[in-house]
Amino acid sequence: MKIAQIAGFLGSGKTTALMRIVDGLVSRKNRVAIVVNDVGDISVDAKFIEAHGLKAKEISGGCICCQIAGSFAETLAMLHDSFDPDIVIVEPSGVAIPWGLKRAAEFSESKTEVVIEHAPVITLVDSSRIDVLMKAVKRLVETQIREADICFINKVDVATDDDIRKTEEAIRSINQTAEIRRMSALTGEGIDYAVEAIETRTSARYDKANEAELLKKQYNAGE
Amino acid sequence: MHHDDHDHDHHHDHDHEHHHHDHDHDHDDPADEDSQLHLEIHRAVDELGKYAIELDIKDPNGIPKDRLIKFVDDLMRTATDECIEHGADLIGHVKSFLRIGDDSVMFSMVHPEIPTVIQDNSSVDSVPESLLVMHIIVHGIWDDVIRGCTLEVLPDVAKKWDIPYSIHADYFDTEKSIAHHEH
Repeated sequence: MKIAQIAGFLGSGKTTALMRIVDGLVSRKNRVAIVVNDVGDISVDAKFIEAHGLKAKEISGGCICCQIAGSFAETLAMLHDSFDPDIVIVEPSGVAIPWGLKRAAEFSESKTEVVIEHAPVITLVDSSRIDVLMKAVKRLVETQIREADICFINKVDVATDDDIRKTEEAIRSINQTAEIRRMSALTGEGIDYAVEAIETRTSARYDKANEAELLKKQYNAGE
Repeated sequence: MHHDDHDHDHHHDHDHEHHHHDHDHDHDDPADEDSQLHLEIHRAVDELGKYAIELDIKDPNGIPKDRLIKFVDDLMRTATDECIEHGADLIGHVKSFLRIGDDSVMFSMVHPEIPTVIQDNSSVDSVPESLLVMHIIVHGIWDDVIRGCTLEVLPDVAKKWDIPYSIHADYFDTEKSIAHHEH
């Protein structure tokens, strides 16, 4: 079962992008489940998604990358046993950390007979307000960008060329290896690319990456 | 709150792209380092305040939908302005969902100077009964302040647009983001 997370700070356009991406995945005959995690006790995002004609599993009461990681793992196990989706699209809370979500997803393997793989981590960056984000919540935005496999500069339809250039420079300074693409969930730009990446590509598992990191430290310690 | 600098190393393995951490912390176990970073991030996140409220809006004569939409947009903006007046320095998001029977109108704003994105999926012109959910997340002030700002402006905005309402639910929850890290 593949887990695809659409990361990004609050207001980065995750919900709108998710709805377009799910439409694309479903049109390609994938069985898709949606999990939405909001910061507060109620999920307005889930209501948006349902109004779009999709059904979302809502997890509230904390961040699924840590506080309620157990509930997230249980939810994934339940989805696997009851619906057996090809892909679970996860919209984390906007303050979630991508590797935390990977770790929580892999924990579902202890709940049922499922093997988790990850789609490339997609992080959306709101180009229309990059300056204020990097000032107020720099650390969180940096972490979300750093952990991304593909960064989408989102809202390019309303951002200025200067905003887009600054966003691209900010992303590249934080993550030298991520792909950088442009997206407008409103016009559809970039959506097909995201759909293709989620469907056909994978990202490293948290446990494997940790293992590699540990080995690297052990070898380096002997030098 | 303190912010350490962390250098990160990135590994590529053809289609499998590894991104992981190479922190400056003096830990042997990467999982410990991850937990440390996690805690730091969530301390930062604790500077985000959130508040949600649900309103029942009823008028047997029906409220013109256009007026109802203007009311919701005005309420979102006025409450957000009040939050900024009280110290908020960044909008996380302000979203509203207006349920009209089986239909809905969705509202989303992320900046005071950017128009609210409004998606109207309803076909009615007059609304005798609806349920509004409004969710505010801002950076720099906590939940209780956002709640106070919202409840402060609500009566005046409702009066301005002649919207009868009652509070259906008040989702005031205390800060608990990092409670799970503390024993």
